[in-house]
Amino acid sequence: MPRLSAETGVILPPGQPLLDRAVPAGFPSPAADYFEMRLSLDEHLISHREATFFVRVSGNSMTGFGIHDGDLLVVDRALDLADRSIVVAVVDGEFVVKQFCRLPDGVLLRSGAPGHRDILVEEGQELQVWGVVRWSIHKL
Amino acid sequence: MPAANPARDADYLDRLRDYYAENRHIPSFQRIAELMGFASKAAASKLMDRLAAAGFFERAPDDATWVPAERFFERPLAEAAVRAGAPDMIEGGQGELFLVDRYLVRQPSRTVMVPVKGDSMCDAGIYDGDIVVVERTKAAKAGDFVVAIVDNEFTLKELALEQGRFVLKPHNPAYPVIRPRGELEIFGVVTGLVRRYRS
Repeated sequence: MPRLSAETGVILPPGQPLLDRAVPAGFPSPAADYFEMRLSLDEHLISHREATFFVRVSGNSMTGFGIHDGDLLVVDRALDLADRSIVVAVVDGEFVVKQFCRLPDGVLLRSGAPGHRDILVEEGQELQVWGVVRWSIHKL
Repeated sequence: MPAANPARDADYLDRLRDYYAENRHIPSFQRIAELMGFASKAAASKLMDRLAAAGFFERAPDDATWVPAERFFERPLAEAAVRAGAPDMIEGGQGELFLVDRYLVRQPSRTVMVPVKGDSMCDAGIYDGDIVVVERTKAAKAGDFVVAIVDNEFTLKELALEQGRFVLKPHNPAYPVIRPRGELEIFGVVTGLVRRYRS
């Protein structure tokens, strides 16, 4: 990859001069040749605007799936429910985030962390899948 | 005001994006003229016409004010993924609409997005295929997740201090700590990321 002609910070051992680079003022790219494409996060993340909801995660039951306490989930209520999707479901009147796994005789809602129980929903028990998780958003 | 110039318009657009990120509205022609150093409101009006023609603004329903259009929230996207793997060593060398952009991007003019490649940061919850939001900055501190340039390669690691020297720490025991022999260039600091679970 070519050296970026972009603004970069330089960390040097003490006593060495700081190197400064000029920033090219090209359009639309802040780093010449490397950032030719543009992406609008909201356009990219949301397909069915009227059916999309943001849900904030609390708790650590899904860390094995890379979903952490405080993360935002982009939940699409118009998306088809496929096996192994991460879903927001209502169990006993409570919202939960789990992995939806079809079983021969029911559904398993899997947690993704040790110490957190999976929920077995047997034939005849009520299960409401509220929506399917399409993206997660994590702020550092 | 001199004739329209794409590079200058890009700079004006950046300033409008930063203004909007801070104030949540598009400034008046008067204010735009002040911000950009134009001599007249007419110049501000012409600038907004050009940016609207390019898809960055549109007229509000009342037709009196400008509002951001789709392209206003576009951010630069890197063409190649950043390696979260070891770099190839080359010897010798709500009440309102919730916007994800608003949530993750503090300063639009300094923000780029970079796809992640590799698994060297998986223990920190950054996986292959994630898109990280990077704020280009000269100032990084130990503990920051940074995109650095090592041997002409982008790499994503945690910036750490080791015996008074900066090193790049992976978050996967299968990868070594990178101890740059020469200078360590910081391209930017990771401020957030998005990950796809379903297409």
